[in-house]
Amino acid sequence: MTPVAVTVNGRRHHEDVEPRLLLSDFIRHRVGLTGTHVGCEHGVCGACTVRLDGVAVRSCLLLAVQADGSEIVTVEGLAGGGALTPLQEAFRRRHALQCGFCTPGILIAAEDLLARVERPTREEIVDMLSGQLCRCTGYTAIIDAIAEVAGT
Amino acid sequence: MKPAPFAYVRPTTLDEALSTLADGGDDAKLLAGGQSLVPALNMRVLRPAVLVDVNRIPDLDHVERRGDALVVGATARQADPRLRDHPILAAVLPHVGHTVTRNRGTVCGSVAHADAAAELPLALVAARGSAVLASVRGRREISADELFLGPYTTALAPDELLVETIWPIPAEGDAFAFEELAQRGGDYALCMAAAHVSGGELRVVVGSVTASPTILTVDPERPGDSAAEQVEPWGSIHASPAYLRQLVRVLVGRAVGRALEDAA
Amino acid sequence: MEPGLAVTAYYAAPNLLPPDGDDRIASSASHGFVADVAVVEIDRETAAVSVLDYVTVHDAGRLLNPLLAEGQVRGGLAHGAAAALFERHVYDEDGNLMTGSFLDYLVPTAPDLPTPRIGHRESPTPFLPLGAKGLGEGTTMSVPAAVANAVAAALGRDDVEPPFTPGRVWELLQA
Repeated sequence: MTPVAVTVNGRRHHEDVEPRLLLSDFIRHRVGLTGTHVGCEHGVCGACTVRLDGVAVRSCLLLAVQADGSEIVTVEGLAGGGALTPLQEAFRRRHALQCGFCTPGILIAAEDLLARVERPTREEIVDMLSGQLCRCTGYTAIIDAIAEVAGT
Repeated sequence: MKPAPFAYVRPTTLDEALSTLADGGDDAKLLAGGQSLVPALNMRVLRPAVLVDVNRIPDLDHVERRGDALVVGATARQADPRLRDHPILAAVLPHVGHTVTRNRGTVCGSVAHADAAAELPLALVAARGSAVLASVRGRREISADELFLGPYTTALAPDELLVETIWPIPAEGDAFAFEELAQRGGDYALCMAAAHVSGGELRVVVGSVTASPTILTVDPERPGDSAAEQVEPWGSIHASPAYLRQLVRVLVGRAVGRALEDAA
Repeated sequence: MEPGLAVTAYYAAPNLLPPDGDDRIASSASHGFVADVAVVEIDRETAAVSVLDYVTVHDAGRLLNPLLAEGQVRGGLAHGAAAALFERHVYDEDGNLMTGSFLDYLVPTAPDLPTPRIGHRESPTPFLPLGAKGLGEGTTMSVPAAVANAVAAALGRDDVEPPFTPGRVWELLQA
């Protein structure tokens, strides 16, 4: 067992873990934050996407031990003070989520795109979404919500 | 789908990593980006005894100009904006995985992993590039043409770490064109073709349809047909060998056409 | 908190009757309708199928929540397009599933789907007080059929079977 210290949504967690424990499982079962979802465990569906040290990553493709000393933001950490972020509000208003399984990963990935690209075009948004599977919405409302916040 | 148990080592220097590899032999696997390795661990396709995490070794993530080449270090991420300065990498990287996987995946890791359907090994061959391999026995540089031996198989010895890839920078008047056909955006392609005109010479490389990136000598008058005549594609559940041969014909034709036009 | 005013009423749809002498029932008080048009183009060189235009019109009676209705049409279309163009279970001779991961079982993503033009006709059903007929997975059913018909028309043959992946369409082009 290996000790790890990870900050999740601003709160520090100290745990002893097996090296093979995936970061996705660490977040869900050790930290107790189940907003991060597990859909495939091979990096394709994107439901597990979290922010690690400022960058969107697949938590199913990281080991918890790799996150020792790092700062993680999950979907639960996006909004502050009880108010939804503009992106979350746009999702709600536009019905960009139905079952919600893909939503946390998409929110993190979309925020990552909006942080690194000034005003992403619709094409850039659609390209980013190629890494996130959704089975309910057909993607259009999601694209529209992100484009609304991007101002494009 | 969880990995089988393994020991985890996180060296803080390159020498430490190389000693661990030398001790571990075939039972040690290097962990850099993890975007190819961890799925294999999760599916238990790979069950190494030791995982050597190189992500915290300083000075391995360089992307810098050295002479006429761009040198990319082992832990430089595919999303690193400095890579887009190289026209071949700029053309190919948008096809590699997805935005989020590129945040973590590494250029050198993809090259060392040598998936037959991966874009970066093919791009390194097309660029006439090379790789620097390090071990406790020293360093050696190997041309991309000699690096890829088969699916997931390179000339790396079990105790070697691919520490740098070297990408010659195209000169004025050079041209590069990349074509691939994938069923969905961001998928591994059914067929890839790259055409690189440099110093008046045409280099054509195809991938995904054979065991490793394959250099073809094509007839510039009939590039697609001459390419199709030379390959023996392996089939898959998605495509028959005859169809893949057709894709070689079409994609080589398109890539060579664009490259020759741009070079003129 | 107790409500100040409450009303309870019962309604039985006139056409939802017990089984008849032959054990038959009407399983639904009303039925919605879907009509789709698909325009496809097949690249002769690569056999890749592109959906150039797609129109789908629903008659779900009175639409109670247009936003949700649109979500159903678009979501159903994604599933229908998946069946038409991408998804397939493949087994080898020994019964091993070859498409057991998302690397081989191809679920469409945002760039892969056509952008539909969506219309609604609201013909309220006379059998129910709200006039709503229901709308759920209409496009899941209609899209594979519309795309298959368009591909058949393009190829000039009826013996076509989805998914119309490039590799499979290529084989049809050779025959």
